[in-house]
Amino acid sequence: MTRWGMVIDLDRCTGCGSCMAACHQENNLAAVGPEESSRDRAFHWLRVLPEVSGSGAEVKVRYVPQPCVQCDDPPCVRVCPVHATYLGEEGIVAQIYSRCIGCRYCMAACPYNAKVFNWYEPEWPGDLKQGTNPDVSLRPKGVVEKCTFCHHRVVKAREEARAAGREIRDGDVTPACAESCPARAIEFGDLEDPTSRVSELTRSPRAFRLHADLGTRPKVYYLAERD
Amino acid sequence: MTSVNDKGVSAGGLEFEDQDLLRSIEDSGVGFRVVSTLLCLVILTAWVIFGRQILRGLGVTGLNQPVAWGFYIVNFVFFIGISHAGTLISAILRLSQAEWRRPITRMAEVITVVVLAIGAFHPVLDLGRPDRALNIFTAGRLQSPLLWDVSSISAYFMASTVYLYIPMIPDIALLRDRGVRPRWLYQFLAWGWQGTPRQQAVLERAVGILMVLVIPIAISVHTVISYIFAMTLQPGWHSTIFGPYFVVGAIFSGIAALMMVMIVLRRIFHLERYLKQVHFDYLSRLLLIMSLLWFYFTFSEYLTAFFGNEPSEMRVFYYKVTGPYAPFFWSMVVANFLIPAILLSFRRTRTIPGIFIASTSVVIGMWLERLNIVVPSLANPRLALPTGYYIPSLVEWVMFAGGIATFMLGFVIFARFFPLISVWEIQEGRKLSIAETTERLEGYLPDPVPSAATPPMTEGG
Amino acid sequence: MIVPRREFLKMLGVATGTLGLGGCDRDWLVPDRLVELAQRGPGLESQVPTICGLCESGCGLTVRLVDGLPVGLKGNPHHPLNRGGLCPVGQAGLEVLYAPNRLRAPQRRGAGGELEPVSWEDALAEVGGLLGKMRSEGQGSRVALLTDEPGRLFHDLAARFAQAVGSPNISSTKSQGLLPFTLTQGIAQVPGFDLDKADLVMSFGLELFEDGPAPLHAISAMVGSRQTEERAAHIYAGTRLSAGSSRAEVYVPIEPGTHGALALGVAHVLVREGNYDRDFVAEHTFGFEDWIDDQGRERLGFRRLLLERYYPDRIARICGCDAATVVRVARRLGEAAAPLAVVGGEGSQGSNATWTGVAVHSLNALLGVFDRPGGVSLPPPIPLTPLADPETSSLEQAESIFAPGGSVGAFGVDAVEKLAERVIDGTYPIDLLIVVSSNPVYSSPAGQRLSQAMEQIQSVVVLTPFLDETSAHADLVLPTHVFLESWQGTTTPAAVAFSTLGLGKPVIEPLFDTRHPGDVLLELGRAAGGPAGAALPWVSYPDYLKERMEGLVISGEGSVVTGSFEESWVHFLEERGWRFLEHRSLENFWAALERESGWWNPVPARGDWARLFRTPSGRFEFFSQTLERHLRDVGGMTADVEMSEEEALERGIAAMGSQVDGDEVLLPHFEPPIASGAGELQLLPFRPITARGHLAAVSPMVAEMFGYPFLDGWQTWAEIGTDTAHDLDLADGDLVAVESDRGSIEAVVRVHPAAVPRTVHVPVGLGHVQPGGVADGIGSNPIEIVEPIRDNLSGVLSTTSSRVSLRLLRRRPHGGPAPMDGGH
Repeated sequence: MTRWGMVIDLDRCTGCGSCMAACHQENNLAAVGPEESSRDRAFHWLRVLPEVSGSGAEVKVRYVPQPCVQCDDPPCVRVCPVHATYLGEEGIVAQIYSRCIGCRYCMAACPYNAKVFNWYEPEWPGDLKQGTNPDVSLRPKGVVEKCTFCHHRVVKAREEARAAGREIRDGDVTPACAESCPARAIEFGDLEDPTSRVSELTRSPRAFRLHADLGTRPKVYYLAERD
Repeated sequence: MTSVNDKGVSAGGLEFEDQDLLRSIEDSGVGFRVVSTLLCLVILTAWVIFGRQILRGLGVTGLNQPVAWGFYIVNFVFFIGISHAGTLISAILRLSQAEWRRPITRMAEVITVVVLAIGAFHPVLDLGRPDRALNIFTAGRLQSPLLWDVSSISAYFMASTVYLYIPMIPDIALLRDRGVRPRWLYQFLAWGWQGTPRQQAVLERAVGILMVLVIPIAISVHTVISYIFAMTLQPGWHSTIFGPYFVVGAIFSGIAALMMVMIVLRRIFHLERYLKQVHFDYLSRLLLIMSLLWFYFTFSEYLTAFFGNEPSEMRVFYYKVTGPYAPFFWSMVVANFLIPAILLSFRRTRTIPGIFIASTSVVIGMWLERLNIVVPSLANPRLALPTGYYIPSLVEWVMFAGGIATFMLGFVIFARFFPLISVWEIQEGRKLSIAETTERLEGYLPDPVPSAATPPMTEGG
Repeated sequence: MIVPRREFLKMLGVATGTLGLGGCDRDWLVPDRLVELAQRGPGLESQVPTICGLCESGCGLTVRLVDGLPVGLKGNPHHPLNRGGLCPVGQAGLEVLYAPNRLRAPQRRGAGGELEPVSWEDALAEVGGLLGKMRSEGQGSRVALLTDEPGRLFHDLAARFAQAVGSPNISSTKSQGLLPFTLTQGIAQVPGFDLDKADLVMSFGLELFEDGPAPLHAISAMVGSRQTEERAAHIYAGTRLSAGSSRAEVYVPIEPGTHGALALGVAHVLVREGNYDRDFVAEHTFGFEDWIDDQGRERLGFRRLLLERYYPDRIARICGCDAATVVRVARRLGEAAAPLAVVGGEGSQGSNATWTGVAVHSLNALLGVFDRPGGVSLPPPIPLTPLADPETSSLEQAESIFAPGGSVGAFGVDAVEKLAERVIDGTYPIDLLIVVSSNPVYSSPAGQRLSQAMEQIQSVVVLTPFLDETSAHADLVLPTHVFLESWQGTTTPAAVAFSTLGLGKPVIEPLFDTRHPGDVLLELGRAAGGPAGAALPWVSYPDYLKERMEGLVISGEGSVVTGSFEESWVHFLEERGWRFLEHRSLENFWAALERESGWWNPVPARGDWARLFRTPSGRFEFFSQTLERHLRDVGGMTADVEMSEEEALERGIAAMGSQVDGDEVLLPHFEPPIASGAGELQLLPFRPITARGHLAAVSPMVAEMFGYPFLDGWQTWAEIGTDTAHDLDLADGDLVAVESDRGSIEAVVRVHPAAVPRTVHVPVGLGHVQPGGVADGIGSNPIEIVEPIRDNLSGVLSTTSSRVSLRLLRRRPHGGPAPMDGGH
């Protein structure tokens, strides 16, 4: 069984925002517009978080691309009253849009702020809907949504693997963010496979996870910058 | 059609000494219609606004990312808190055989039922997809604290409705017998009450079971509501004392709301004869105790956070204490602790107006407390960014007003059809309790000096 | 029975529709979108490579088509520029294609000033007729053409068009930043910087990973294509720390416009510590040591100038940095195996931009990085078929409106400003202005002047896919394709070390009644008739592209980009020379090019010093003889009297307004920047990655993530340092007016801990007039308020020379800490 995970190398990340944009396009995230944006309702499944450390002349700023960290023990799943979010068998925390009642308890419970809510029906001005990805459903208003590790790509890859008469494995899938990253700062693969690139990187001394202390066991690892 | 109540009070008899209690039912005037129309208008507005919210989406509120919960959840917790006024207080008072409870219990129970219904509806207001609310039942997941809430609130609602209704049966029968319209209503609701000794025994037994049952349920309700927050990992929420803290807060706000209601209704329906200074005096002592208890819990809660000095906790802490929520936080402290503690401690200020001010202040303060719990934690999530803010929209204010109006309408309608003070319990009190209390009091006292012949140890042996 | 998918889904749709009436939740059922897609076709997928046409980089794209309709874009991993990466603006390609405000048909400004639809035939006949008439009357010089369409191929066609109609007036608004290389290397192009093999890049003001000609190339070359832990390091000197530069090993915050001084300080340390490439300096540079000229005069050498004038303490005072940092940075550069110094961004936008460029480039000479891997070289030429001389060569060529001239004596001009000024003051009448794929009214500091000038021009024709600031002043707006609908031929962006040629083919039929600008020019040429038509013999733009490509086949150089190449293979080819003999015919080659979307030649010609240094001395000139001659000429023109060379030079220097004198002017030196205006802060507009190209703002996604490093969107921000914010009593999120002597714009304060005190940085990219567009009237454009201060040497208008003040309009509407407040 594969267990999908991601390693984001902050030493390589140049904060160009490509991952964020790729995620938007791949997953049909509709822009909410200036008004809604100013009310903090813009949604990004993956955000580039600025982090400041030090001060004065020694100030350091780093940018942390943060998708859903895909916890192995997800607080959001624990609180969902209707099984609308669950931990898939390959480790992807999924959201069932057609079941979600929009109570936003998962958002309140997520320590990573990884979930976003459709405050209104998503809008596609002009013909923008034409350009949406047919593999990913368009969400209705009133439901919570989140990064799915480009689950639709996993599904496709699994079909292909099956057609080739084998199991899906490391290297078969690349999510949109990793694919678009010009710095190749995002690695994606099978954490279960000890020989995979991601497994290797998670053993790096630079590896850390966001709020690992909370016991959520995220499957998104980061590699700290080199000095 | 005249029938004689076996307590000997002739229905419709002019000599009926508790006529005051039935006035609101038997000759409701223009006042009722005007007030209920006005309230209905407010409620209608709220429903229209709610309809609009369903059509357009939850975006019409002031909620955002990361402050995904706001007024609706605050009011949910607040209203459910108020609902503890009733049943819990009345059950405790009944259980402890506090004789002064008699004119109070009914009102307290009405508050519970009305407010609980309003409070329980708030999560539905808050749903992004209210059309799918029933998924809770068809696809419910018992591991979710939200499901615990659903279970315990419905249990509480059921129990408190029954607990309101059962002791009301003799009064309904009284109204039926007095031929009050609509007769079918009283006929139906009186459930064939004739006041036979068997019926009375069953009634007393039922009330006895219910009042024992309702206490753990009531406590579970607010505990479970606190679990909604405490079960998450969020700073400011993830706290072990949240259960008792919420329960104390609920009883605190419940008593305050009860006194507000009592004072208002006493004035409107001229119940001065029934709701006397002593009732308020006792209740305000209770309120004072709860205020101190509340302060103790609050102090423990914040001191723990402060002393631990965990960064994410401290962000929430400072957000409340010195940050954008400081006005709300300090108003809460003033309203929940300083004002009631000062007003209720001194006999000179423990007057009806003083108590009214203190109660109102506590109700507002407890609302602020709910606000202070819900919003700052969400606005300061563990990942320092993005830091949120929350300004409720007009929609949420209207819904709040709608909730309050529903509460008032609930009372107005109840008062129009049912006595606000339990007639039979008052009468029972008059008839039996002096004797009973005397007997009980004597029971508390040391036994009379035994005769020299009897060895003192006999009883213990 | 087999039910076709489409039918099945339709049936499902009907069935679910019925259920829907029964009160069922429709979202449980087949989404409309699926039914909609199924109705399109059988759901066949294909991946087609093409070229991104949204900015001047020309990255390779792979378009995902379902049933022939594009539904996704990603970077083409085979394309040597971006190697699979794609910037946020590129990602928005489909939003540009499907944008609600696409122009659907040609529009002519009616009598009432309103745009009215007009047919292509009428529109082209009108302009063609005008052109024909002007040409036959010998008034061809009254035509001017402004274009920013990227790549040499289109520019060549536009130039041919101008020539055909008898106009010498064609300019791109993007000819800045060349002069330092002309002065030092004698070349009229930006040389290639081999970021692929450099191990330490010191950037003076250039946000390598965000701005510049090809940021995605910089990212992939310095980081993406390297192994883990082997990325190229970089040092950033500037006034602001962007997201990209936050990865810099050292950030040297300096006063605005003092990049050149810092470069010289670094040079001083390198020279003083003997940490420079002595062999290279001895063999391939001119003017390092003191020297004696033809007339026996002793001339100042760069070495002495550096050692006497640019010692770290003085530099520290000028730059407002720390002398130890200057030394540290210099040592780090000296130790690096393959260092590079680059300039750009704010470093090449000051009033002293050229001097800064020269000072920075001289570091490359001291480090001896020319003509070696990881260094500076000229990309191999792209052997395009040369265009045959047209019949029109008999026409006398009038002087161009863009010709430098006047007492200032700059090498070049700011095309937009020059056009606007000469039209307004009537010294060069223009009757027909054609603007192609450019929005100078928005992007140029002389934009407002240009819009005034446009009112005076009889006919302004703008070719654009969207209505914008420039087309607002047009008499005729001709809608063009968006890149995904059109053929494109792009060539290597500036400063890239290898050569590429991108061939983008349309991936979708044009959605609206639009045309390619190349086709429009060809048609206009034909409509003008006579020799103009004959000079433009191609049937269509792809026809023209194909003819130009023939040269590549004939030369046999380079290769169509293909497959994933192994580094060792490239290395092997580099040693043995790289030819693609497999493509013997043009058809064959064209087909391959169409399939792969690009050609490249990564093999630089090594050892060709004569091509690299085309200066009078044939060397890298610290002492610029080109400049000396130019200044003498300028000085000579100031008076009609005979004067000595020395005197002419002095007069020339005086005319330039240089603040140093003697030989120092001709050497890399620091020229203090000029700043105009009364405010207390220096305004430094910059281009974030979300503002690449002039079409970015039509995408709602790009607008929504416009300020993503501050978790912000749809707002123009004013970035100030923590201390500045404190001094001005401003907080993150406050709305302020940024006020210069020329005007005022609104922006939201963003406090960044690393911004240099007394500077305010405002991004360009929003503040568009964009009828029907999502970002219409959103944000503001800082270029509107910059003072038109000129770089006297290049003639280009500076955008970073204005002083402004910030006036609080409204406090942050809600509390809470700001994104950059930290807390970790």
